[in-house]
Amino acid sequence: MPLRNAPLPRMAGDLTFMRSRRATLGELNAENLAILGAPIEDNIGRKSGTRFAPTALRETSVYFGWHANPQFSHPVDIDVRVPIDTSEMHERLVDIGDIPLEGMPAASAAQAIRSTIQELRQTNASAILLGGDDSIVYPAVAGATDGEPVGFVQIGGRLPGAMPGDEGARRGDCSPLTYLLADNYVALRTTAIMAGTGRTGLEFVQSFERAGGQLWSASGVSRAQPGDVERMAQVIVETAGSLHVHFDVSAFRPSLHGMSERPAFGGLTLPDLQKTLGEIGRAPVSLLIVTGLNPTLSGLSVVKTGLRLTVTALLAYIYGRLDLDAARRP
Amino acid sequence: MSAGNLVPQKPSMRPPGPTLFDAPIGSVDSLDEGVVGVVGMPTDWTHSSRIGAREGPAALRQATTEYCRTVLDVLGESVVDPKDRRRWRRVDRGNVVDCGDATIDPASVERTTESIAAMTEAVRTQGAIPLALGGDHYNSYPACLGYARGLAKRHPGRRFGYIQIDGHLDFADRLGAWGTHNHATNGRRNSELPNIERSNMVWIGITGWVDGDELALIEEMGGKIFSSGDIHDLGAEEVARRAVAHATRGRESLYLSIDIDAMDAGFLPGTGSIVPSGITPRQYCQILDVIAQENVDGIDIAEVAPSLDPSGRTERIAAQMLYRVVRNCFFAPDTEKSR
Repeated sequence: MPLRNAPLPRMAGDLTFMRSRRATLGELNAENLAILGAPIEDNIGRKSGTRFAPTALRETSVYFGWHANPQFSHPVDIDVRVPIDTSEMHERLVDIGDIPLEGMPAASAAQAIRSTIQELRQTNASAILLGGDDSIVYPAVAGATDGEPVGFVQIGGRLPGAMPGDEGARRGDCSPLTYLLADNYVALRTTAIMAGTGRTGLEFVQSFERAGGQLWSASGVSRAQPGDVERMAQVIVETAGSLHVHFDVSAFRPSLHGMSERPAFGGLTLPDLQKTLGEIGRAPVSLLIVTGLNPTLSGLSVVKTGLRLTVTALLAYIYGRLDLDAARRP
Repeated sequence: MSAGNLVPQKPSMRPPGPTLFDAPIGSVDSLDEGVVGVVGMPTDWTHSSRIGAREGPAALRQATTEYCRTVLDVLGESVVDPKDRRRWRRVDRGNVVDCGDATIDPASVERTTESIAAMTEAVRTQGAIPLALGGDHYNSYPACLGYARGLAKRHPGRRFGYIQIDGHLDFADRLGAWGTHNHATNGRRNSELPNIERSNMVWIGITGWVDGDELALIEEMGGKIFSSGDIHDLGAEEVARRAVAHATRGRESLYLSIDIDAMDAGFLPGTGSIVPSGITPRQYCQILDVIAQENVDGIDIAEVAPSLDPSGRTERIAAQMLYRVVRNCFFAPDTEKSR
């Protein structure tokens, strides 16, 4: 049941993701997909601004809040003419707001993220954590573990520069994954990296794959057959017992948006990302962490292409996670 | 909708700066048959989110004049299309006449609608071709309304086909607080015109998710939708050929509504409702090239919002798109010299 019986102008009302119901952490249960924000970044470069992404993504997502609009019947994917049944969406998709991080020192903020995710884990709800930059990934995944390594898929984002334990692994521009591996929050054999950005050494690639990790290039993702990504995700879940996903918007081909904190050459098209996130969403993912979207880059804040792209890609994940796109499955 | 107190339809305001394609200025009631009569619709009060398209007519006039002076004017009397090596010869520039902007009343959708419709009606009544420059896409409705009235006067009993190139259906009956007349309802309102043939209505470039009931209604009335995915799968030219075949089936008149937002926002971000369609400028122009070969006798182009694109490429791409539509006004096939 929609909250309202009359449509609300897009910029009016309580700002929640896709006009979803507002809820508290304590109200969540296993049926819920909860949206929460972590508006923080440790970027002190000239391109800072990812801390504004949770609000910007919510503002953009309102456009897609069909389930809360009584003048809208139901969405149909026009390319494949498949209807999406959003009748349960209002009960299951909820927005629990942002973790209150403003003004906190980095260590306290990390602790706040970690304890929030720990609390979330107790509810058995699935969640989407809107960053922020990738500094939120480590505390979020650390908070999601119960002592055993969790399954982990990274889409886009920085490639680790070295294997844990290698000299230099903790120096320089290391990815969050390096630290998660080093601290045993994730395990190599239940980790996959898809369309990672930046450079890494051949030694890392060989060691990573030898240990059971999966590396998918952007072109590999593009070539994947329907069902391939879902199978990979299911295998990780069966092995590790859980799955956590880090989606950095650097996965997008930068010619499509220009709003990534770290634009990279190559990358994925929107259809490739929709396919990937949609299939991953069909696995029992506990947490999707979205990072790297900077809505404030000069000039681009009025363009908003990156925001629209990101929310469109997230929609595929949400429909998959809530099992609303059954008719589209292979 | 009540016409209310109508503003005078004439004289229209003269454009203060450049004209479309550097064309001569004229009046809507003194056009020759077959001439393209340009009507500006500088209004975006009927857009629900990111406004800026009221600057569209001025931006299109600036960009098309720039295109004329830097590209068209430096070409010789005979040019060759590098694609198919066909020769074209220059024709009289008088085939396009800029009739200025319609009077806009920001406080009244009704008065603005009738003001625009009065101008496009006058153009079409004389056998000329209205080319209306938006403005947000709602203004396709007043432009098409006037076209339909003019067509009915000139050719009583004739019904027309319709092609809308757009990222969205614009087929809602209402849009929230904006009611029944806004940029999400223009396709629906056009479908209600008395002399449009609804089974000849075609949409090209629709992207993402659409309202299921609206889709069902379009299919029920015999309309046709080609998604952006169809363009990628079938090819832009093939989609355009199929669209034209459907829209012109049994019809002598065809109205073309161009919403620039069908193009991927990565190429063309200066528009109110961006979509990630993947449609490139090349594909969009291929579609327009095919349609321009048909008997299109009414056109609007909408949603050019220059202030939303700091790079300025949106209006320049839109100018090239417009050129594809009216190319025959500048160059005619040189049948003697073509291979």
